[in-house]
Amino acid sequence: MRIVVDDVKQGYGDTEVLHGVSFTIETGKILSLLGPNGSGKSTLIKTIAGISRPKSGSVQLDNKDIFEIEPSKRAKVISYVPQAYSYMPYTSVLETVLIGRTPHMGWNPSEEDLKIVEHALKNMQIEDLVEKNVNELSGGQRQRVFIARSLAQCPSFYLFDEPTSSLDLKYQLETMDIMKQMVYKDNIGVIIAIHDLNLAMNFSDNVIALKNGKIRLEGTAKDTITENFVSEIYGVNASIIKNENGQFILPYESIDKSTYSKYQSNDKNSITSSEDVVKIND
Amino acid sequence: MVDIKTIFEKEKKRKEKFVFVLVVLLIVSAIFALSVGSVYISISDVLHAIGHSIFPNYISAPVNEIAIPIINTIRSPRILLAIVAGISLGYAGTVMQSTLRNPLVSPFTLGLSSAAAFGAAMTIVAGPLIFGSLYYGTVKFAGQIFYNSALIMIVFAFVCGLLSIYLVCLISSRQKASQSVIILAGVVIGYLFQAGITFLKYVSDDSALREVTLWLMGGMWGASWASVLMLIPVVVICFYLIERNAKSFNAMMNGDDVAKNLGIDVEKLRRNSLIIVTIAVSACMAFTGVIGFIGLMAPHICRMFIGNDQKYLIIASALLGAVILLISDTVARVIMNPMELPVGVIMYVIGGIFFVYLISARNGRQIE
Repeated sequence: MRIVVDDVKQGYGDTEVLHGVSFTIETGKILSLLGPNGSGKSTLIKTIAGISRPKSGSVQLDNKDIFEIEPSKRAKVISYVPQAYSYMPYTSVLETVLIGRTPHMGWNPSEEDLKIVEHALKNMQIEDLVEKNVNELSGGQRQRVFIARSLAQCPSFYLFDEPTSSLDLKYQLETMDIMKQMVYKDNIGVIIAIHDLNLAMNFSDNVIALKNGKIRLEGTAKDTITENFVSEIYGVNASIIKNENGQFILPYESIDKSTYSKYQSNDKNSITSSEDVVKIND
Repeated sequence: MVDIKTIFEKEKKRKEKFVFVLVVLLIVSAIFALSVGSVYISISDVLHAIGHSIFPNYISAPVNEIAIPIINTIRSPRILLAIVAGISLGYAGTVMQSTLRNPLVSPFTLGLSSAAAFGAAMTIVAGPLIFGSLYYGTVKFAGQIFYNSALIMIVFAFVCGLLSIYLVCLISSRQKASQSVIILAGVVIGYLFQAGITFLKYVSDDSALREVTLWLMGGMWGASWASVLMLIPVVVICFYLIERNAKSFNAMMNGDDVAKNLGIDVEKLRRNSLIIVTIAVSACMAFTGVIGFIGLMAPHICRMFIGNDQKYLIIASALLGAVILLISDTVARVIMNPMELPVGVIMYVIGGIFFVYLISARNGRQIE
């Protein structure tokens, strides 16, 4: 299966956030969406998730516009995990993960529905929390609950908006690992909006970098994420370090430092000297 | 090793048990309510009176002869009105809280009560002027006499109620629906209609003023078989239309975006459900006057016991609403016998104390 995003323009009210974005993703691949805050990553993900119609252009699933597909059928193919979670008090983890079965189940969940939920809970290592209420959990546990809800939806494509933002290091790596396994074992496709460049570089096949609502760079993760890439997209100077465990990004300073260090240099206690600034701008 | 199926079945049983307990509680309170009042009727006479009225050939008449007329003409309609109104307020509160994802909203906080009250006050004050003799007429249907004034009041209460909900939705959609904006919008719209009510009270004559004031206090004074027979189908049909969407309400719990991704037409579902509960609540309020508390508290109390699964929460809140209103009305009827208190006085005291107890006694939902 494949999703084709074709010249999508999208916005809220009169402001346009995406100015014509096109790309393709197939099952069996992880695609990371990179870009600074406000570059349109979340908007793009919501458009692909079928949440808001694009102002122009289209999103197609196997040559069919996703907004022409019956919503309950589309829900079986594309699943979405938002950046901010909302929930009502006194909702249990089990109830929350079961919501993921909505497009599949009837009035009551079948035995199969419950088995899939159990599998999703185990995958995210939250089976012990199943009877707890979502409001009693820590931020990271909650994030895993909402990822599990998405797993229970059993789609062909996952759309994650910052899925690792509240997780500790261990769970960040494990969650990305689970995604990677699903992608290759079950042949599904994943699109992740992510800020962590190291996770993006080591876990995704391709990356797309958005800036100001346009695709600035795209390609395979290892080739695209370079020192130049980081400075152009994020305005940050960084080094790439390679060792036997992989390739890693080490960001060390903002290129805009010259702007704000002017204010700092007036301060006698400042540790930033004006010499540093000159060096950066070289 | 965690077995999800076992946990799910256990939770399901617990929720079903809670609903069953509420049904029993409702039946017991109804029988008790039929028995007490200015004339005491023994429980056995109550059961005989009901049985004899339905199956005259099989069940003997009660020993106390006066039981049948008292129960059939005075107490039954009143008790049924309390039950029906409690049910509608209970599920309306749940639906509003779930669709707007805000545990603070209720028919009262969203301004619906004030708006419906304004509609009813309009009918009382201006009805005779607008409709003339038609206002005082009656319609005969299914052997019951329906007063035109009551029908007009239902329509006015509904139209104003709908207007308030429409305004709340309009304001909250403009502002990207921040939770506090919804409450603020409800409160502000409530004040607007309150201003209207105050104006109507100010300009009305003595008899209309008394009627409006009594109506605003809320109570089961408007009970009659005609009113109950009119309300039952409305409340039952609205309940059915709401309950069958329980699965979609569950999906809306994780936010509009998630629900949309799960294939739910969120805007349409929210709009339709709010219209449906507005119909049910305004129709009941035309007879009972303003009843607060239940719409807010019944869903909260039920949520503490059985969580947020709408399949059970909607029906449980409806039943609990009925139990609270019925018990409060019964106490209000007998506590200062032969004088009657407004039902709100009792309800706010009993309900308030019970809620404070629940909050302080447990802070999880695991109440067995």
